[in-house]
Parts: sequence; C-alpha cells; structure tokens
Amino acid sequence: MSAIGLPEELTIYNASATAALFDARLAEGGDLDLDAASVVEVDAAGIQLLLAARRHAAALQRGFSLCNAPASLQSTFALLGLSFDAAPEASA
Amino acid sequence: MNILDQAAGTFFAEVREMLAQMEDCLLRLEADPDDRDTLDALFRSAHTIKGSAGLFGFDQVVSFTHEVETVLDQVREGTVDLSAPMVALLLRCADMIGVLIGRLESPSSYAGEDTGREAEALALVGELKAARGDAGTPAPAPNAPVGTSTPDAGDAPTDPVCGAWHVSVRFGRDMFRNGMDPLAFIRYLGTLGDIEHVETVDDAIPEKPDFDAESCYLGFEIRLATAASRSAIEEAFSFVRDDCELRLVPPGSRIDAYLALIDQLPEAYERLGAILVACGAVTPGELERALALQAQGATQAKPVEPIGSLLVRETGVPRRVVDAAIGKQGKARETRAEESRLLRISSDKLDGLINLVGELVIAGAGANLLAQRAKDRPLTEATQTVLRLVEDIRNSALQLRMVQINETFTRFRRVVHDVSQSLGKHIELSISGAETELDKSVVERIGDPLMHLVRNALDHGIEMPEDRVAAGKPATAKVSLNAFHDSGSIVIEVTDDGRGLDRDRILRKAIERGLVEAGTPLTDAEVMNLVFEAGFSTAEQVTDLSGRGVGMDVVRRNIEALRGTVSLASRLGEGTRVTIRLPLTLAIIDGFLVDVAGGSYVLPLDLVRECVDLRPDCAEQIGDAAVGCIDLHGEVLPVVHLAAWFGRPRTESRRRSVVVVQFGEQRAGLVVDRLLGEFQTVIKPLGKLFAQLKGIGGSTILGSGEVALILDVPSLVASAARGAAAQYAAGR
Amino acid sequence: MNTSASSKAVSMHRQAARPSDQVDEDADGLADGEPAQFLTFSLNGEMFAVAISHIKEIIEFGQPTEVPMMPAFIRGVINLRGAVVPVIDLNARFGREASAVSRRSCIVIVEVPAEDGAQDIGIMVDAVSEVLEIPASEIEPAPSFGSRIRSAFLQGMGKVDGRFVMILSIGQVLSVDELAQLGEAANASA
Repeated sequence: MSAIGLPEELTIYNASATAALFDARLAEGGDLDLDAASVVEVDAAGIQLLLAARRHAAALQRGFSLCNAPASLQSTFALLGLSFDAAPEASA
Repeated sequence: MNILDQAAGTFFAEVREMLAQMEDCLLRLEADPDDRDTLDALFRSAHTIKGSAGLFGFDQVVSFTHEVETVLDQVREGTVDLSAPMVALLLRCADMIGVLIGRLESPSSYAGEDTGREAEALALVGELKAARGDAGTPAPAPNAPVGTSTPDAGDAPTDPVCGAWHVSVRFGRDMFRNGMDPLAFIRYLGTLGDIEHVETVDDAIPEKPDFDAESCYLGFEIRLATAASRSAIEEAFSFVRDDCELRLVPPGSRIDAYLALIDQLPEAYERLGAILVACGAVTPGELERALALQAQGATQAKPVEPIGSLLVRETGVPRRVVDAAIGKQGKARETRAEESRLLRISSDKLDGLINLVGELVIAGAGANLLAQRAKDRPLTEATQTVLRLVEDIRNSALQLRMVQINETFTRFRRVVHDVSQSLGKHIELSISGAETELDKSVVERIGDPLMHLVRNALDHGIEMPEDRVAAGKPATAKVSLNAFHDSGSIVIEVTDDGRGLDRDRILRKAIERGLVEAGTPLTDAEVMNLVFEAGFSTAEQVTDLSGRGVGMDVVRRNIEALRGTVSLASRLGEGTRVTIRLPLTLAIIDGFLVDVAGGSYVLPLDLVRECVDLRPDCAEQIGDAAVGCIDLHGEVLPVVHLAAWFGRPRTESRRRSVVVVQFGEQRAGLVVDRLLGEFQTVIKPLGKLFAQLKGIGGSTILGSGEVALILDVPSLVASAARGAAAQYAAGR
Repeated sequence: MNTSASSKAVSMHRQAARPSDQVDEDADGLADGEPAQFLTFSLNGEMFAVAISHIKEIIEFGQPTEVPMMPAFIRGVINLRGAVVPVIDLNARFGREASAVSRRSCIVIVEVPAEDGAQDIGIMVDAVSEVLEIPASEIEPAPSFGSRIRSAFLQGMGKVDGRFVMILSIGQVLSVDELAQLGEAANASA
C-alpha cells in the first residue's frame, strides 16, 4: 500500500477528517506510512494526531513511519522533544 | 484595510486607556503604597498592554513593557519598594510606552526622532534594572521569604540542580475546542527565556474508539531557563488558566520538590521519573535514591492543597503571591463582566442619530402646527401625542451623548503632581462632582481652558511652601475642581487657596493698558473680570508654564464659543475661584419664543424666570438707550432693549414685555415686543461666519419653516454689561 | 431662464462635466485643458460668472431671516431643507449698494471649501442668465486694476459674445475666514 500523504494543514480544523483517514487505512489492514512532504502548517492537535496514530498502529501491531517532514515540521518536533524517525519507542 | 489594521485602531485606543489607568494607579499608590488592589490593577494594565502588543508583533513595546512588568512584579512580591522616586520612574516609563505607541500609530509624525527615543528607552530600562537591584538573575528560592512550612528546610542538601524552572502543564480536554493551541503557549514560553528541554506527555491519549481528534490529551514537562519571575511564567498561561493544570518548580529546588510534583501528576512514578531525568531536572542518581527512600516510606509526600487551578508547591513561596493570584482571578472576572455591559459606539453614528431626532422634533412641531391651523381636534391631539413621544426620544438620545466630566478632571491629577514637583510646591488636588455629566462635545472642548486655569493656579496662585507657612497657612496648598448642575447649566469651579488677586493692582494694570479709564467706578467683580481682557497679565515674569498674558482672554473666548461664561472671584491672601458656566447640551433646547421688531428669537427656557409688562414709566426711563434699569418688584433690574440693541428701527410705542432671565447670580431683563410661547427647538449652528456674534448662539427652524435666531443670553448680557461699562468709562 | 430651469441646467452640466471623480481640478474647479462650465448672472447690470462645479443649486429669493449686528453684506439666513444657510449680498460685498429685490432675484447656493469641511453659502443675485462653456483660451487674467471689482476676487475675464464676463473666484469672494473677520470687526464696534 502506498504512503498516506498528509494534508497541507495538519491542524484542529481537519484533525477528525485526517484521523478518519488513518482509521480507514488501519481497518483495511494496512500500515500507517505517512508522507509529510506537503505539510505547511501544524498545531498541537496535528502533533497529537501523529502521536495517537503511532500508538494506535502499535496497539494493532501495524507499522508506523513518517517521512519527508519539511524543515519547519522537523523543528516543531524538535521543540516538543519528539522524534518520529526510528522505530516507535515503547510507550507507557 | 486588513483585519489587523482595523484591530490595531482599537488596540491603540485601549492601550491609551490602560496607560491612563496606570498613571492613575501610580499616583494613588504614591499616597498609599499598601493598596493591594491598586497595585494589582497597575500590574494588570501593564500586563494587558504587553499581551496585546505581542499579538500585533510590536516587539519593542513588548520588551519595554516586559521590563516594567518585571519591576511591578517585584513590587508585588515585596522585593522592591514603591518609593516616590520609583513612582516617578514608573510614570516616565508609562509615558515612554505612550511614545512608543504613538510612533507605531503615526510613524510620520515621529520621523527623525528615532535615535533619541531609542536612547531614552534604553536609559529607562537601565534605571529599571538598577532599581530592581539585579541584572536579571532568577529569584533564588532559598532566599525567598518563607511563607509555607517546609519540613525539609533543615535537611542537608543533596546535589543542587541547575538554575532553570521546571514547568509542568497538563492541558484540558477542551483546549482545542476553545480555540487554544498548546504549541503557541510553548512558543511563547520560549520568548521568556531559553527552553532547554521539552518532554511531550501523551499518556492520556486513549485507545482507538475513545480517541477524539478534537480533544486535547497532551501534557508537557518543560525546562525553562529564564530571568522571568514565577508570575510572569504563570501569566503566560493566563488565557487558559481554567483549561489546564500548571505546576512550577523554581530553579535551585531540591529533589523533594520534584517528588512532590510527581505525586501530583497523574502518570506513573517511573514514567515521570524518567521524564524528569530526560528534562535534566533531576539526575538519575538522585532519582534512584529518592525512589528508594520513597519505597521505604521515609519521605513523606507533602499534603496536596490544590488552590484553584494553579497549584504552587514549593518552599518559600510567599502566601501573598498565592492569595494575590486567587484575588486576581476573581477581579479579572469581575472586570470582564463589567466591561461587557459597556459598548463602544462610533461618535459619528451617535451624531447622526441625534441629527435625525432633531429633524423629528422639527417635523413634529410642523405637523402639530398644521393640525392646529386646520382646527382638527383629534388630529391635534394625535400630533400632541407624537410630540410627547418625540420629546422622550430626544431626551434619551441626548443622554447618550452625556459623558461624566470625571475623565477630564482626573487628567489633572498627573498635571498637579508633576508641576508641583517641578516647582517645588506642595499642592493637593481635590475633585468633587466628577460624576456630573455633560455633553461629550463640551467635554472635549473644555479640557484646554480648564488646563490653563489650573496651571495658572499652580504657577501664579499658589505660593512656595515657606511663604505659605510665613503667612500662617498650611504648607500644602489646596486646588480643587468642582462640578455641579445649576438651572439647566453645568458649573465648573477651579478654586485655590493661594495668594489671591490684588484688586488694586489689577485696576492699576488695566488703567495702564488703557482698558479702563482712571476714576471709573467699578465693582470688585468688574475689576476681577478685567483679568480676562486681551493683553492683560499681572505676572511679573513670564514663566514657561503659563506663557504670557494671552492666556485668560483666550480662555474666555473658548468658553464663550461653547456658549458659556466665565467669571473670577478672589480675596487677596486667601485664594481665587474661577467659575465656568456651560450649557448642558449643544444640540437641543427647550425654548421660549419672542418677537423683536418683527424677527423671531428663541430664549433658552431654563433661563426664563418670569415675564412682566413693560410699564410706560419704565419704558420712558430707558428711553432710546439699548440698556437701562427698571424697577421689578421693588428691586433694580438691568435691562437690555433688544430692538435697540440689535439696531432695529424703533417701531411706535406699544405694550412691550420684559422677560426676566437669570443665570447663576446674574439677573437681567430683556425687552421684547411680543411673547410667543414655549416650544422645543433643535439648535442649528450658524457656522463660522457668525462665530464672533455676541448674543446669538445659533438658529433654529420653526414649525412654519421660518428661521429663528437663538439668543445666547449670558453672552448678550455680558456684552451689554461691557458696553455699558465702556460707556461709563468713556465718561458718558 | 427661470430658477428651476437654470437649477436643472446647472445639475445637468455638472454631471456632464464630471465623468469621474478623478478630474484634476485646481482650486477654482477648472480642469486643465477642458472648457469649463460657468453660470452667468447679473449684478447691478454687470455680468458675472461662477464655475458651476461650486454651485449646488439655485432657489428663488425668499426673505431671509435677518441676523442683527452683522455687516450689511450678510443679508441673513434661510432654511434650506432643514439646514440654516447664510445669504450674502454680493453687491454689498463688493462695497456697493445693497441689492434691490426684484422678481428675478435668486439665491445661488454655493459650496465653499473651508478648513473643517465645506460650508454652504447663498449668494443673492439680480438675475441668472445661462450656463455656458468658456474654453480656457477665451479666459484672460484679471486686470490688476481698472475693473470695478477687487482683482483678488476675480479668477479671470471670460470673453462671451464679444463682451467680457467677470469670472468670480469663489474661494476669495466667499472666504469664510475673511467674512468672519469682517463680522468680528462689525461686532466689536457694536
């Protein structure tokens, strides 16, 4: 299955819609491979969505990855002490 | 204009209000430094300015105000005193904020001033820092006054941790729905200092079916190296105080503080420990030791007393700060409730409404007149009803324009404060009747004349403290501003208990300047009012506060332009009082219509006391003159024969009437040809062409469509009096 | 031309002359290069003209309410649809005898620019004549002396049908500041 392209805006405004997208992929039995190349704007709801996606994928033993994060998105990750690079850490 | 520009207009207006409040608070605090409420209001104003400026990216204002806020914060915490020099410094800072705002508002008018202002601002910041007694180090916790019990205060310290704040925040579920973005708050924290580390705590994110992408399950543990105070950090979250749990651990705190923090947080002990280690808040070694102790039950978790949503747990946090925080919350809510009951209206819209009401008044009168002429009783009654309702609307509409004179009066506190300091005099300002209301257009234009009168009092009227004491007066002089309503006018008095005016000296000067002939008999009041003549000044030297003798006559002209009058009373050695009388409104009046030599004129009804016939013997006494005296109920009444005064040809003698008017203490009679009755009238200004016309204060349109002139009675009588005085002076 | 017809003519001409708001006019309403429209009227037997861009309307002469203690050239004030407008007697303004009221007397309502917005002022004229175009080429500067009106009041002399018509500079004739000062002077001596 191809990667899911994340929308330009990863914010509260389309959080539910994007979450539904993830749910659909997981329901089809796929992994959550996200391509962040188009992301221009992100807020905490968007970050939370990625964190939730990672958790939910792990709970279903599916794969999760995030690639092509633009520089601004990466710096937001850095600010929040987050990393989506390597294999997901074991969360509590 | 984009939305930000529109909002900026409101921003500038609101900042000016905040600055006025700050000034007010500072002056009050100078008198009473322990006034907590005012101190909090002061801090709030500064904080609001900083926050709003931040929204617009006015960085310079933000950083300057931040310095002020920091000092104010320390004043609140008791580490800095609000002495008189400090108040003066803060006043200058408030002024500087005003200047910075002004530059943003209209860059062109400040062009070229830039470097000077920058230096000034930096100098002020330097003074603020010096006053703070530090160069920006964070408040060290062990030295802060002890307010709460600290069971381990005497314990041997373990490895001290580095000097950075630990900010722990758990955002509420509705954060996103309320339009808040935690990311923005963290970024804002970044402006307060250096964010050394952030741990995102997403433990609360539920499993799939329960996960709502629009709810917020996030928390953060942040390590922030900053010079900002606790309150400054707390204030960063003030917008979402109700939507989050915020816990702060100050720099230099010991491990127990962190254990206490862990106690309060919902996540598991080990998880939190790991987070804190990751943050650099605690070392792994400490954590191990502490956890071991904990397991043995040796460390007692301190009892948790959540106080509001801000839980502040640390040794040495002054109780006052906590109480103040709670108090602040309460007050902020109160203020918000009060403010939502007020409305900002464009004054153009209000004026438009008043104009329409005015037209309605005239149209109603016209309709009523037609109904009367048609002798249609039901129609006449119907139009009467309409007229009554229109009058009610008129009164309500005019009320909208009424503003308390308080705004104008309180400006003078600062003036008196600054001027008395710079002159080295002790002067106390007392204000009464500040809630007296007057038309907003009058309020706008009375400020300058009042300012001049007050400055006169401060500069020339009040003596130096030594002189006052030598004269047996208290060293502190009193200047008072008083306002009240009196028979349809508003009266404003400016009184001082200074040296008063020397009647003889005034008369001498007047004679010198050719304003009056020597030997002319003048009452004391008339002599005093000579001060208002152009070119008059009794000050021996020209000070730069009040300027030359162009002052008082300009004051009188400004007041007369408002259809008001001004007079002066004084006692040598005791003091002076200047009395200004103004009409309540410039828009609509209840009028009394009279006929003078075929022309219709309207007198303000409020001034009319009675109407009497002009007896033939009195008529003879006046003769051909325009002014004269008659006997009214046994008392002498000065009268103005309006037809003669207006230079109208004299008609054959017939029964004329005298309308007795009174304003203040002045009584006079106006001789008219016919009395035509009462009616409401809308004032139509005559325009600049007629600005200097003495005695006519506007015009109106009668129900018949005819234009009638409105008499400006005080001005008319005053100029009749002057004319008469001039006649006497000329020896006629 | 009777009053309402000339009023209508004025407004028609004004609309025609102002295709857009961007016309570049100098202080007296003359767009560069374009022939300007003028209203001509007579005063004491002489013909005068005023650029129609200043003129708001023309109304019949109704007895104005006199305002006492004002100089003679201020005839009084009138009610113009709810606004109180002063009426100036131009003859008196020019230092001559007050105008006599005749059947053809009219009041020309003119908008005069002032510091704080425009002010409407009515001028009393003996009779209005017509609205006509006078091309800039037919306008000569006012003579520095010799004409019976102060040259400061004249914008120029227009050649119409072989005669000269004095084009008034409304800003000067009806200068609110000057009129107010004259009023003040009259008052001071009252």
